[in-house]
Amino acid sequence: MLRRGGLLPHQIGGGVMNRGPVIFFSAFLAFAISFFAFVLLPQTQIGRQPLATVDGVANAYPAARPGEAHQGAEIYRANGCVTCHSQQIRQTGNVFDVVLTDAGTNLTAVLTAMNNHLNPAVEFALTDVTNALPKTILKAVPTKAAAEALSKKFTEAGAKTDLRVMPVGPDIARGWGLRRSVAADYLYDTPPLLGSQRVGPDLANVGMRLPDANWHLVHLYQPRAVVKDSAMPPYRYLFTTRKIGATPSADALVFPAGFGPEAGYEVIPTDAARALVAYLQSLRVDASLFEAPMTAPAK
Amino acid sequence: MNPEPSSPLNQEEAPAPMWLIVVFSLLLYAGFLYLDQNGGGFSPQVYAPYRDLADLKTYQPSRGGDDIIRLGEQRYVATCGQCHQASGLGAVGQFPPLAGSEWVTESDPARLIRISLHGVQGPITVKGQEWNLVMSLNATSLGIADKDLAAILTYIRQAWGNKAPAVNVEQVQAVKDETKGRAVQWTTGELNAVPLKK
Ligand code: HEC
Ligand code: HEC
Repeated sequence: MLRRGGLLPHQIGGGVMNRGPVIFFSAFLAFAISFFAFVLLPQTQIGRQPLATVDGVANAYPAARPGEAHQGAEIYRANGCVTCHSQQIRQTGNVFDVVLTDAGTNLTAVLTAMNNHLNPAVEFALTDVTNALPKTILKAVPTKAAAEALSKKFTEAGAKTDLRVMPVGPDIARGWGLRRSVAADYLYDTPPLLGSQRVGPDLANVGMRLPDANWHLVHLYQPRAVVKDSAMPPYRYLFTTRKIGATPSADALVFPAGFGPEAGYEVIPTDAARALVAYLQSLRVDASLFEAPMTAPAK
Repeated sequence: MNPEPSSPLNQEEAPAPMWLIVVFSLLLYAGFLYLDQNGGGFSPQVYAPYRDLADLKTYQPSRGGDDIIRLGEQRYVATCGQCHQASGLGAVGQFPPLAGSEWVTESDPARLIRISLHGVQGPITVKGQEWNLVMSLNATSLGIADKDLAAILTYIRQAWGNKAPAVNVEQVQAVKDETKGRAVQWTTGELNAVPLKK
């Protein structure tokens, strides 16, 4: 039996607000629980997270963002890039690649293993075993057990194999990153510019994807000069256009044919544009972490 | 003094309907079930798509090579590596190199196991260069277990560009039995007299 707030009948008459304490306590409880679960608990768990250890080297990741790149983050915020660009890569799972690293001494046995256990439609030649190692012999095996079972066929033949952990997901398929983003990726970001809209591509790993500074500068000055029909707005006020003096400036943007200012003029990036590009180049999610494991590409 | 008649809405004894209690219990149950399956044990290191720490561990990439090599590398650095260096290159005039050494990469490890168990002394030629020193520490004096020594030897035979077959525990134990009672270092003369299987 539920009683209305445990009140006696004669106390009820005056309407709902008579139950003030009950409402107050329920509201307080609801607030306290969410504060505990969404603010306090995460803060105690990852609030003081140290820099990540990578390959046994402590404090190796993420790389600090010194000087220009640090200022660039402010330019990024000030220009509202976050309204169209997220910085968080999603992942739905992992697959395994089997890589032949060393064919060993018994090449025919390895060749037999290749012909028996890989693509039945392909007849491998001895040169497939010896040339260009390490070589990925099987891609995207869905489970580790299956990949290990296959590796075993090759180790039994005296060869050596390596299992590569390959994260998969729609963002990764688009080339936006190598693995999912985790809290450690944002340790140098105050505030983390996660973003929620994806009018443009995710930028969490843009420094790895597009390392060229001139590409970024031209893209910011005139997006359609490098991306056909780009919907990104140009940021011309981050540049100055001036008459070419006695010698052309070394800093001037290099445009693809058919774009750029009229003849006799050159486009020079301001410090803000340069800082912004330094920041974009510093956005790299490239380390394998315990909480987001992957086989990192060779540096 | 007549109390106001209570309206039907204010029925203080109105019981909560049974179906509501059942619905709420089911919702609560489903909620906890979901948390249990997707909460990652509340570990701050478990993100989707991983289920829990144990699941996450199975996805950790190997740093190239297999477990035995990694164990060997670890144990090597702490023992033999003090002298022969983590790079396997040794040190000029003090410790001969293991990288590219014919003593290390001989296909039958019988001599290599002897060297590591008891050391070598006197003139020895490594990669065309003559050394004349004493290997004063060895697997016996360093107290390295047979299993670890097999891993170390496998590692030094396959690291730094060396290519030789792995060494297993049985091979180490066999040599131990054959050389029971030996305490002094080997000389190259003695080592060369050890018969090798081809
Ligand atoms: C109105 C939405 C919008 C805003 C605001 C915006 N962008 Fe974009 N951005 C896009 C779109 C759409 C694309 C995809 C087309 C292209 O590459 O030009 C894009 C592409 C990019 C790319 C190339 C990414 C890739 O992988 O190809 C970079 C880098 C970039 N934007 C940086 C920025 C920066 C820096 C700012 C802030 C100064 C910014 N964007 C503001 C919409 C926007
Ligand atoms: C105290 C330093 C020291 C330690 C520890 C040490 N060695 Fe040596 N090692 C030497 C020296 C010095 C020589 C050269 C001896 C000589 O000139 O006869 C040598 C020679 C060798 C050789 C033969 C020459 C060559 O370079 O191939 C091998 C093989 C070898 N050591 C393996 C090992 C292994 C395996 C371990 C670990 C169990 C080990 N050593 C630990 C100092 C050391």
